[in-house]
Parts: sequence; structure tokens; C-alpha cells
Amino acid sequence: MKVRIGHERNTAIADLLDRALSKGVVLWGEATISLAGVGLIYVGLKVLVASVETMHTMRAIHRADAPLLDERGA
Amino acid sequence: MVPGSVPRAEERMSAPEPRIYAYGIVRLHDGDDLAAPVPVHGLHGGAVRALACGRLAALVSDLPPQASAPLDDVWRDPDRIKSLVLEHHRVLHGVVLERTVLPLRFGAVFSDDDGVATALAMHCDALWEALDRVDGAREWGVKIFCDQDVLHSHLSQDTDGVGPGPAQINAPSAGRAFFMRRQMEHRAAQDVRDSIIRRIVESGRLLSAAARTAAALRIQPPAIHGRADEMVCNSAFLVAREQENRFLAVIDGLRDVSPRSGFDYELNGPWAPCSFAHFSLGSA
Repeated sequence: MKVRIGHERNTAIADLLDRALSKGVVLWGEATISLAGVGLIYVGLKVLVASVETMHTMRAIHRADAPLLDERGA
Repeated sequence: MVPGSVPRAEERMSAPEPRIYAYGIVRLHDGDDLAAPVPVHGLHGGAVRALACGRLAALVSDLPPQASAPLDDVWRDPDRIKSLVLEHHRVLHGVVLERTVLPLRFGAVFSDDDGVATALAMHCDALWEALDRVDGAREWGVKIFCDQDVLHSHLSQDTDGVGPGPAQINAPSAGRAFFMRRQMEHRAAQDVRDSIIRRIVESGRLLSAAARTAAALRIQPPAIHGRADEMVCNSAFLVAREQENRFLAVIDGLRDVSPRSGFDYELNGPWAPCSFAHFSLGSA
């Protein structure tokens, strides 16, 4: 049986966000500037997840078949 | 204002403009050509280069001047965050196909090359040890899904004669029949839960045998995975390259025996070992 790669649809972006935004090494140095914005990015993540959910709901309502990532131009 | 107690916002306003974005850390090997460009584009299309410091190098790209305060304002725009995170991911993914990389969390912006080199020098030993743990391995994600109705039917077929049969329920009084039916439903639900737990444990055991280590990830809701069945387990495995075929064969084997019992598996990856490089160095 062939293994299905799950890098499709919005599940892929969720997997990616989970790793890029909540995993990985946080490296602080004297010249680190923008990790100060991580809190803001997390706010953004919530916005993003909310928007993914909203899109999904909209899709379900309208029974649209187009993949979410295509709809959002990724 | 007392010197040395400048409020953070003012401090950031007066700080030099953010310029260098860092994606991950690699070890330098003999024969590495630092001048050779990394064949992927970074954020805002910047060329990715290796910035050496001792035995390590950071993979970085310059942020264009117009991307000032590059990550502070993007949270207002989910589409922009998504595209930046995708670019961050593409760089790490491009690198992990070729060599071991210790991924940095999205959002590491430094004032200049010296700032990156200083951070590397400060944390050289910890970064080296972290690279040791992930050396020669990549991260794979495995999600287990379960259709509980199918599993319930499957278990019912297997356990014929174990629970009370219909004749036993119908024969006694209505009150007793109700009690027995409730008991049977309760037992069936318990059997389904037990079976799911056994499957998760057994899958983890088999997959871990082909992996260096494993990590639990958040279960995703149906709004994200979009499937009718339920995600019952989401995990990441750190798999040495030479073990990848064996690891994938384990997944194949698990999937082969699964559909009849209502279980299904989704594989994703390979990833840079984000879930196994999950710590903070230094302080804000």
C-alpha cells in the first residue's frame, strides 16, 4: 500500500505553523530584535487559525471543492 | 528617565533597523564552501547564505530596507504571516534534504551579521549538543485517525458471545432489559476506548523501534484536518536517514491491517527536526 503524504489541503499549513511558530530553537542574543515580536506573531497565529476555520466553515456551507490553499493564494 | 531603564518600546524604536533573518544552524564540515549560495530563496526573496562562527554556521538572508519592522506588523495580516512562514519553511526544507540543520523558530531577526555571530558564539556548546541529537536524522509526522463506528462494528464481530445477546435482553422484564442494554453500551464504549489506546501504544512502539526518538504533537480538530473520522494521535519521530525505509515500511504495515478496524494513518515530512529542537537559549 502506498503511504499518503499529508502535505495537502489546509492540514499541511497547520502542521507547518505548529512547527515553525511553536517549535524550533529560540536564540536570544544581544542583537536579537524581532523575537520580541513573537507574542504578536502568536496573536497572528490565532487570527490565522481562526481564518482557516472560518474558511473551512464557509467551504462546508457553500460545498465548494477548491482546496483551501488555492483559495487563499498560497 | 533613569539611565538603563528605557522602556522596551522606545528601546526598539531607537534600535538599528532589523536586517538579518536567521533560519537555522548547521555544522561546518571540511570542504564546505561558504561562498556557495544555498539554492533556495529566503524571506522577501533574499539570497540565503551561511554565516560562519567557529564550528557552526547560521543560515541567514538579508531583509530588504523596505521590510523594516519586518515581523512586528505582519500579525495584522494573516495572509502575510502565512507566506512568510512558508518561506521560512521552504528554506529549512531545502536544507534538510541535503544536510542536518537545527531549525530556529520563525521570527529570528538580528541587527547585523555580527549580532548573529555573537549569538552563535554565546551558545556554541548548547547548539553543538543539539545538533548532535539530530545529526543525520529528519523529522516525520504520523497522525492516527479512527472511525469509531467502524471500530465498534469490528469489535462487535470479534466479541460475539462475550456480551449479553439479544435473546438475553429480550427475555427478562423491560426494566432488566434496559439495564442490560445500558451495560452493553457502556462496555462497548469502553472497548472502543481501550482499543484506541492499545492501537496508539502499539503503533508508537513499532514506529519508535525505527526512530531515534518521538514527540507528541497537538491533536488537530476536524476544522483543520477536514476528515470525517477522529484524529486520535499526532506525533513526530526523529528518524535517522538510513532508517527511513524501515520507518516507512512500518507505516505501510500498520496501514495494511488498519482499514477493517477503522484506523487510518497519515504521514507527513520530512521536516527539519523542529519538534526535537524545542528550547530557548539566552533570555529576552
